[in-house]
Amino acid sequence: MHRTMFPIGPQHPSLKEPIFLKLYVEGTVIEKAEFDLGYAHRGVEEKMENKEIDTTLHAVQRTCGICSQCHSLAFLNAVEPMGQIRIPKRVALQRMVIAELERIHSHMLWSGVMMHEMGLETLFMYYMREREKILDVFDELTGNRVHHSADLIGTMKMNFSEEDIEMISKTFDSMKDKLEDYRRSVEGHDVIRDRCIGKGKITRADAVKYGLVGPVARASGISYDVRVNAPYLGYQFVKVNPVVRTEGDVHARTLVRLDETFESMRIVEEACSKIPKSKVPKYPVKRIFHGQGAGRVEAPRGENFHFVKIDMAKTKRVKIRTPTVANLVMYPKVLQGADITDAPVIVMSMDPCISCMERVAVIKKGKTEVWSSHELFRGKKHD
Amino acid sequence: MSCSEEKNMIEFIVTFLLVFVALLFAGFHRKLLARLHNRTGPPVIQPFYDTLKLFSKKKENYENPIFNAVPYVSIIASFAILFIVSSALVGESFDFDYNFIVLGYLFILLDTFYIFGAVASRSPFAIHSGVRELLLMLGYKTTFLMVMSLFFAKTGVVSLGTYSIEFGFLQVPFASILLVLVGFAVMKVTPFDVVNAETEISAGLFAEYYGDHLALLKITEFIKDLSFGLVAGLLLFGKIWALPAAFGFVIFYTLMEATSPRYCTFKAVKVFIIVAILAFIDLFLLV
Amino acid sequence: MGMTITVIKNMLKKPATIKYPKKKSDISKNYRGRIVVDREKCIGCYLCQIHCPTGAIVVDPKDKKAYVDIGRCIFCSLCAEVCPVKCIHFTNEYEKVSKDKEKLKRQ
Repeated sequence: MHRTMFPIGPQHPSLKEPIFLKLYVEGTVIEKAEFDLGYAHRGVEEKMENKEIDTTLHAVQRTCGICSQCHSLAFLNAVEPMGQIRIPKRVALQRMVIAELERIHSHMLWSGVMMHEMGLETLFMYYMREREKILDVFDELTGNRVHHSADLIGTMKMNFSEEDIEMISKTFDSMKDKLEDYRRSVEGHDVIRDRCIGKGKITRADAVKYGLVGPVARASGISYDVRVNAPYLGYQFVKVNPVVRTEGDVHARTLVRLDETFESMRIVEEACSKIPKSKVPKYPVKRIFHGQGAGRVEAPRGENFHFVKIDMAKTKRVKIRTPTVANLVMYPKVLQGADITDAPVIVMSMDPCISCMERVAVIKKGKTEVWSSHELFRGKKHD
Repeated sequence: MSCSEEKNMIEFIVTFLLVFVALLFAGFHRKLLARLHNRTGPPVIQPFYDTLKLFSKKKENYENPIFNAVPYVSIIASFAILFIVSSALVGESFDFDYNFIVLGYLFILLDTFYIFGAVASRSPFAIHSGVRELLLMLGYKTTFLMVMSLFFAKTGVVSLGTYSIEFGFLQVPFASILLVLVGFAVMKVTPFDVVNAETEISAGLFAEYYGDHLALLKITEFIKDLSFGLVAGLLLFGKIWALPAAFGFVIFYTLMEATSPRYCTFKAVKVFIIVAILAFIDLFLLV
Repeated sequence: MGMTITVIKNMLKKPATIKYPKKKSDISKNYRGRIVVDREKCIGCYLCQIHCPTGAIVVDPKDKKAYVDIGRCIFCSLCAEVCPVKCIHFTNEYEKVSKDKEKLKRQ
């Protein structure tokens, strides 16, 4: 049979962000898959060089539109230990509430998009409708719907009042029944099961070998969650039960995310009940002059890692490693041997967040190039 | 003016009215789907705006003659379908003997034209979609022909018009069920809409068409949907109930579309091959 | 089958669509809309200019007052936090769009 290249991307109805997947197909079976990046490189890291630490904190959130709080938390996890800043319990729990709400809305967005990939627009619309309520909660809590900009070094910009907390629980009450209903539909629907079960299978061994993180790893039977393994913030006050499944296929990944939504709701409610009466500290808590460190948090998509170097009270270097970097390397392996019909479903099941992960763009026509770390450091290639 | 000329005029008018009904039909489908999604949705006359917008787009010269010809040929075929259907409903000029076989072939012809256009466009999405359409046609087009013949073989009538005069409600129940199943593929409703699966092969067969050509193809699709609904309504419920039945079908199919995701290609093909076998067994029992 | 019941239930409900230009949506009190600088109180200390992540807020060296380019502002409210006299605040207004780029500058 003739082998043809079937392109998915950079623009394609099934992709929400630009990535170029080259699927070499024979008939309808994918023989080989490659991907090409560099369509959404924005130079975020370069923008953060030689800036005030507070400025960087607000800029670093703009890395991702969906998990912006996770970026700010990872940055703060790296920076705050440098100045020996111990955050009070109220700040820790408030930050945690925002992070967990963000996980809920991210997973709901993903569930909707996943249903859209399979052709079930109805659930996409319902999930997006419910997600809107979470965005309204953000609006009320922080003032911004997407990029919350709620944190400062060692403190926060707002105190959650009693009404805020009441509104959160009211929103959850209005959502829970519906989400459970949708979950039942997704789990029990014959056609969805037909599309998902056994597709895009990742074994535990492969997941370890490729270093997968987040829900993708947890669906393959690896119980790894930064919130549990290295508790930060208020996760020492509130227990997290990681959701782990062993099947490792698309269906398992769907259910892991749907279950995590409910788990996050429980965490938010528990954290809200534990917020103490004291107020957050006043803004300039402490200035940090020198130091370097790393911070990691569990973003909705997996482990998010930041390396920060501070010199003369300015950030010299911020290195961001988003979870998608870890999960993206799995594509060629997992797409191999799949049918074209399943390609969008498998691609989406990893929850790719392309424009957050693009760090280096080497643009050169026709040739692929390998840069050594030294050359990357110098910023130009040896001849 | 003689009586037959008058009748011809009425048929002509009805045919052109049906084109507008076809567009309204599509608008109704969109509105209903939106309401099932709990959205407000576009106004019912949105397809008119869409087609007008497409006609007003800039025209360019295409290289491939087959690619250019397909929209015009398919709109002619769709009008032929509409003439046969409307004459079965109100007149008799196109109500010749065995016209249901011609109707079935015209339906097949339309999809064949689409595949020609898709292959001529050289887009990988369109070609892949064409392959899917061919696979699916194995199942549902043969079933469509067989089911049509079943209706007429069981009742012993030879044309659509006379069938609708002589017979009414659910004459041939088993064939009726098969016809409704075939409707899933003809109307391109979700469990079986593998041909224009948006998230897999983007715009499917029409991936490379745009402007006035796309508008013609869209109108063809609308007319095809309406005429299938009318034919099915005619065969299942009789002449008077044809148009309400067509709207009933659209409600049923929209409900299915809203509650089910898309099957994998091969699963859909398998389902339709089973349907074809059932139709064949039924036809065999009759003989 | 469960799905069918859900879908029909949702059809009978009022649509969730917000008909935006006809009907304005409710915005919370805390919403960060248009940024307003109280130039009476502004002392021209340059702190907001130093801290702004996008360079949207600039102090005019002539009259020593801060001006905002709304086209660049990312609504992080850091300038409001660092301001020593608290002369920057946000209103609830969310319709800030203009066809003229120049109109957005210096507000």
